[in-house]
Amino acid sequence: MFHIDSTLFAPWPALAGGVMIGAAAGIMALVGGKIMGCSGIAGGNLHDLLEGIPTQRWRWSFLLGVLLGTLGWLVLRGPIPGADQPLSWLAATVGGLAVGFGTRLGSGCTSGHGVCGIPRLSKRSFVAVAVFFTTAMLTVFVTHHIV
Amino acid sequence: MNAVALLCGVVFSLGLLVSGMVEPAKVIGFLDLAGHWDPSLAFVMLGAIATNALPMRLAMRRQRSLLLHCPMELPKATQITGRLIAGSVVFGVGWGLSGICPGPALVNLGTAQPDRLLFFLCMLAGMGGYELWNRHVSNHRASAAQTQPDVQLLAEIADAQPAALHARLAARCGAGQLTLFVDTPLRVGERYRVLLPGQTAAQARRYVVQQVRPGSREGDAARAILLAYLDADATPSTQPQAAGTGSAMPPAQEEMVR
Repeated sequence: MFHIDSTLFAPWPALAGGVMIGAAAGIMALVGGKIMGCSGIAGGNLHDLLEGIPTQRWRWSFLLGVLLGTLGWLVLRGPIPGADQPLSWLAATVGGLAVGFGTRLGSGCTSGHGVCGIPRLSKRSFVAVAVFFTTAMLTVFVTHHIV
Repeated sequence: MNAVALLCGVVFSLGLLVSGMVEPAKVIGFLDLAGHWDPSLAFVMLGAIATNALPMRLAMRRQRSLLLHCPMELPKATQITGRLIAGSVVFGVGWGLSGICPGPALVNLGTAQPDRLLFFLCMLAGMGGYELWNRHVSNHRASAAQTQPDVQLLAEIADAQPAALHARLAARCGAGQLTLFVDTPLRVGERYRVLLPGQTAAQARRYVVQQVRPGSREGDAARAILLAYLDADATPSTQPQAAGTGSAMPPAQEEMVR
């Protein structure tokens, strides 16, 4: 049914990276009592800034951690994978706006609804994940096979 | 807490880098079922969900977090809302167009490519746009609530002194149904005597909370909308019927409160 590209398929790094992501989310929930959702963390602080109320420091710490991890990779491992892959003007602008607005309207993204919501067995997250995966696949189908 | 969040951020970003989630082309290769499909990213989700399953289930049972004793701030919302669906559709379109979701958007700043910076700024603009839109909608609702007459809710607790709660009347439907704006989170099934404007305490009738709708932000109890049913002296036969009809609010009033 599917044509699987064996030259690109890399299950082991994917699984290892997934375990790291899941471990980070697990520690955040168990030790921090928080949901490790990127859109909620970034958008939550943006909300506080726009409302003029104090932002939450743990959110800044998490975002700083993401940037530090990235910096560590740049220093120790070299360029970010996929840095040479071009992003079209449309993908960067419309894609960026839609990702920002949509994740806030829908209360979560791949990390919040996917990595955290599914283990919580949240009905809302199951619906959200099904909807955004389906919509993203349809969008790719349209942009790569129709247009 | 800050050290834990920092550590989680580091591990999370390295996980994204190791797994290939940060590569737009790899994400699109996964989403492209009709092309040269690359199923790698299914393993990212599987690995992440399987690893998070146990700690998350343990976290859900706790009153306070492990070691740090932080208050647990896990989501409580359960309703499938229009916002959830619409937001996920919009996000899906953006993710399909770009191959980048919010976590990788941050890591991609490390590429120092102008297109990734543009994406990140547009994502922030989208989030900011949501806040402005949401504020507009909330203010509209709040001003609608402010012009409504005040209502007092008297809790029905057997021996305790009844606590008086404040609410505003949003709509009345027939004899036995009220829609209220409430500032205090109410639970479905709770009973109150509702003192409408101009009524004396003796005239107040008993109602049961039948439905509670989220306020301006999802999971935000403030400005929740309460649909109450006349508790016909708790006749059991009428109650399941009322609960089973789902959205019992007539369309006209649904419009009014939105």
